[in-house]
Amino acid sequence: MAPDHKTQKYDRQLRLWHAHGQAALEKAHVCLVNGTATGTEALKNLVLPGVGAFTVIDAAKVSPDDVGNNFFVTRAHLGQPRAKVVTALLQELNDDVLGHYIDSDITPFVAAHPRYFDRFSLVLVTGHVPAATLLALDRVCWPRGIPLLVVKTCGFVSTLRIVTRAHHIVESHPDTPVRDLRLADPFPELVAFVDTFKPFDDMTSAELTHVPYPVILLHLWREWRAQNQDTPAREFRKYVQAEKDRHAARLTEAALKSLDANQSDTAVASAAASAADMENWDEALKQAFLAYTPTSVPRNVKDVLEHAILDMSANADSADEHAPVTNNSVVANPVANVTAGCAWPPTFWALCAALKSFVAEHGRLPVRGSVPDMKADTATYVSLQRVYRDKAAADAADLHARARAIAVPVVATSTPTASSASLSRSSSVGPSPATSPGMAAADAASTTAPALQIEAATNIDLATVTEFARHAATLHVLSTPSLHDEYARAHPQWTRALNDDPGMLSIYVVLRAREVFYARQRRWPGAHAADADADTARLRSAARDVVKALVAGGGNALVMEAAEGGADAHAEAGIATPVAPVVDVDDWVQECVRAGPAELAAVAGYMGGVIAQEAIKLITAQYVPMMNTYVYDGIHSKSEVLKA
Amino acid sequence: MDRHAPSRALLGTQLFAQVENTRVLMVGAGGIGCELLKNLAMLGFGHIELVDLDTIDVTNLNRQFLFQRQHVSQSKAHVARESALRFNRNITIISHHGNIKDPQFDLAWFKSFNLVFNALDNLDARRHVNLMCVAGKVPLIDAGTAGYSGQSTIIQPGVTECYDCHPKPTPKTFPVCTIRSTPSAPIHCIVWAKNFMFPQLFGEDEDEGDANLVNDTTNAKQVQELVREAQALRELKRSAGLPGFAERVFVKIYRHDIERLLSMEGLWQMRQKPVPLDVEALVAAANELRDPLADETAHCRVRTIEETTKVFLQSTAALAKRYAASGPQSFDKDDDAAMAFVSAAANLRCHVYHIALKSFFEIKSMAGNIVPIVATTNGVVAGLMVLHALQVLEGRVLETTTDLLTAPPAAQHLVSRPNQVLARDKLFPPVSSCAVCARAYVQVAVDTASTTLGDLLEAIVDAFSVLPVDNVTVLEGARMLYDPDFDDNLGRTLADLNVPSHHAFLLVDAYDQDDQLVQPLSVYIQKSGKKGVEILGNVPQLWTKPAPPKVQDAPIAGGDELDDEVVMAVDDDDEDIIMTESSAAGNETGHVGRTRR
Repeated sequence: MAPDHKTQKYDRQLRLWHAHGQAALEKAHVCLVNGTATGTEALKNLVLPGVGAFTVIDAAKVSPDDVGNNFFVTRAHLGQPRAKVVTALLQELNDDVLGHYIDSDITPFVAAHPRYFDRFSLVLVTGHVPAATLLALDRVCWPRGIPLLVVKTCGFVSTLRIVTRAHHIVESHPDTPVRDLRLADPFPELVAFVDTFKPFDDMTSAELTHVPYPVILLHLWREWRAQNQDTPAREFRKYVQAEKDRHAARLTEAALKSLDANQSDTAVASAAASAADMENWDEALKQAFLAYTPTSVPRNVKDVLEHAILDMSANADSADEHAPVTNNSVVANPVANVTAGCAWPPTFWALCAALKSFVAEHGRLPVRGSVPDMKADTATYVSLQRVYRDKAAADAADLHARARAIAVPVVATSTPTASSASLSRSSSVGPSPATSPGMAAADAASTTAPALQIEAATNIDLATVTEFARHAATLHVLSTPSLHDEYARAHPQWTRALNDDPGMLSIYVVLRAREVFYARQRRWPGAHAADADADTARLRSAARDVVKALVAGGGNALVMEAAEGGADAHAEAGIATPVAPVVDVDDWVQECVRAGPAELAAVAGYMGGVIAQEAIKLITAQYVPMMNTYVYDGIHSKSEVLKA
Repeated sequence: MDRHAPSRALLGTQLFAQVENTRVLMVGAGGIGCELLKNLAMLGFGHIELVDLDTIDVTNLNRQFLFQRQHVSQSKAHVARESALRFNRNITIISHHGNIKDPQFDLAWFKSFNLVFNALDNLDARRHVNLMCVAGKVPLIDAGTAGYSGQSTIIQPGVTECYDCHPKPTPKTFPVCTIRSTPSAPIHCIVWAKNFMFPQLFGEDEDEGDANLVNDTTNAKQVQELVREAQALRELKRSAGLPGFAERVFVKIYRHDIERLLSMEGLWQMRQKPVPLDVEALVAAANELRDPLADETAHCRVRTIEETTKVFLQSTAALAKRYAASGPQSFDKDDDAAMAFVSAAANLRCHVYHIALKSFFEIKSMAGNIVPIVATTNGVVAGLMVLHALQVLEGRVLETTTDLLTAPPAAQHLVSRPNQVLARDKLFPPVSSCAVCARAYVQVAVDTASTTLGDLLEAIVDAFSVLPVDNVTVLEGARMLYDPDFDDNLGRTLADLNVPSHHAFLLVDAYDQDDQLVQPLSVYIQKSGKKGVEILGNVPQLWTKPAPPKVQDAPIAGGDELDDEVVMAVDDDDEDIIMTESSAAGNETGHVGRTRR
């Protein structure tokens, strides 16, 4: 009689991301680089809700500092491998979760075993990691489509950068529920339904006060538009108001008349009361704009449909940048990883291609099929619901057919039967006569073999397509720049802020400057209290270089080149400096040197929550993650999201 | 080795010393509480006391990381303490398994702390802690979470707004007729099953429930019918636990009661008539079925009427047996039998009234006022609470803020207002009309057995010269004890008057001779063995100001005003239950509405 233990244990969170979100979480394998306080907190928040597995990669031994800021390690663990200790302790929190550890430093490990990362659904980096290593991880994760979360912490301040090449969200859980009634562009079945109602003037009070508002609006709009072709649409509301008043007067009069006819007092009173109760007409007034506001394809959906992945030429471009290997079997693996642990099947992009062709043909999105609560009698409301539901089902079936058709050429080119045979041959055989733009894109995608590609949808079931269609208006795709891009590129969007009021951007600058410092000194600032003044000067100089690089580009060289022993002057000379704003980062420079490598438990707790929250959004592909660099200042309880 | 070296380094020696010597109280050891205790312990807070009346439930384990499966049904407070000490032995943690409103947690006890943390999930307990902190002038950090959103606020008594400065959204209520006779939405049927049927069948016997109905209903005949219906149910209840009870209840509520309602023609002129269940056929069909609850995967779908009937009969029989064996039961969303009963009873009623049926999972959400909760948000909020605490200790309160964490669910929201991830609100000064903040508080020690109301009043008027002796009103909650025209009680002792001696305040309101309004005073009675009246601590200065044009002397917040009768009301959406999480240190009355007068 008791529900299974998982449903019970996870009851409160299932209400946030539902059973399929939970399933995605339980399939996910998260990699944590460095078992720091912040990393452990974040992982704890993933282990408790039941992430499938985690692996900690860390070569550090448990130090007194760890005992001081990481709740999970105690004095007894001093000197033991940190990866092993935190894995064991986190594992204890939830026996449904598998914990692994690798007692190795990330820098050599990622260089030696890039393929090892194929298994992860998400990689989280914490602690003090040289930028060169971060960029190496980026080179591994980016082409595989594995989301990379980079956390940098220094005392009371911390940043979280989400790196994701093309994260798609079907269920974005918008704040306000989606209303999809198509009153301005009604489909024929809806019009037919409205036509079954008799004229409002012939209705009794009970009938008129129970007509659902979409019917009122469609009806009145037709009447009004026929008479007022040149009047601005917003004047329509006045007509609704006038009609409401007219009917109210009519009904009250009728109620009074029935008083003369010697009816019982209660009947008259109730008739009068219901005459006054025109809630459905009030709803019509409130929603009057729906009658002339066509249902457009929202920006977020356009972004998805116009995404490079669905576009042949862009696909070819992106393919050569990061995925030099065009061997079929190599490509197959990354695709599997893109979607590992994802709530939506790898056919997402095939469904998008289908949706693109649907929109191209019908000029609209599929009907959602749900009707909000409204004043109406039950029978009418149920019929209205059915009208929308049937239309939604028809649209889903249409989309289903398209999705299956689109998949054919992809399958033809990527099935192992093609093996070493030339790709061009199979693709020339592939397309069926009903070629659509989406099909061509899919076909091209498979021949050029980008890391992200449209996967087969031949066997996709109607239920999945229906669910996808229901969310068509809230699809999102999130593409951030790669980490390499962020370091190498100039950031014109920040130039003004750097000149005027850098605000929390200065925290970002100083945390980047620490990496330049490391590249030059081979240690982190503030690690030796004796060097405080010298470190402050060096860090300040590094911060100046970072600001220059943000304006002019070339920040990647700052963290690489010094590896060859470059000095400050060298680095500065290497960079063209058109406009180099002087940014006052002194407070944060000093704070960074003062804090050194120490972490504060409360900041780790806070950031651990923020990180895990975003990780869960990414893993479940529900809710929209923040875009894309989160900066937190624990001294002033401030935060900001920067777009790198 | 110094476990607190990182804290000491980052906080600086001075602030760290303050942290070490600070006595803190945590109310609630649930989701936020576990995270908070960890943070406080790690940071080096030297003396931590925690209070929680709850025991550990399996649904806590997805976030309350100090608890594990083997701890289920043990005290949250005690287990949290033991788990935290396993990691850090150098601090003092004292745990209390009890209700924060218990007499032992009196004002003097609250005042012994430098800082109080609210990590509570219910309005009533949160308001109580708020009142005690304002009365005792102890800084309070109040927090809550719901789903991906959460918040933490500093309440510095006299300086900032308190928890009660803004009225909390009142939970939605439904007219009794809607619930009892004419439901039109699933929530109406769920409220009926949970707040009416369940207590009627398995709860305390109560007669006064019907009296409330009269106030709410305009139709006298309908009320009569309802009263008769309730009486019949009480009759029936006497046979609880006997064979055939569940079937008799089934026949009564889904056939006879519906038929009686149908006989009232007036009800159905504008409504679709309910259809009584074909009870014999359903019972027969149900008897053929195996236990439908055995299939948990069906929790997310709507069960058939036959299955639902089976669940109804099973759970009614189980609960009746429990009632017969161990007395009145109260509804608990995590009690399988209770939830099974409410979901089945509600769905059968939905069926009768042509309302769309809901899945077990959905009904549980609605009936339990279940707020989605995740570990992540609790971690975020507990981190903020500690950083807020540091701000209080450093005396930086005036520049701090309410931190509101919202993880925006939609990209538009995020891109256009990216700072929303951690939004800051200014802290505002207390609202002048706030029933908690507007009062002055004084603590008196009296021997309640020998001290009369007159003695007390005399001592108070002596101590507060602005109080005009002939223009003073004394209330206890809503009860009038004394006013110039009502001096009958002056000779009676406080014990005789039943004045409680913990967490209750006597409210003294007055106008002076020139019709100036004098600051209302709350007098906290501390029981003492000594004769006479002793005013403890400093005597606060009462302000006076011109009386507002309209006299308003409605009784205002004491402590217990939420304890009114609960009838047929519940909130059905998240709006009403924002910002709650962690643990119950009081009853969950915060979620339930009250009868309107």
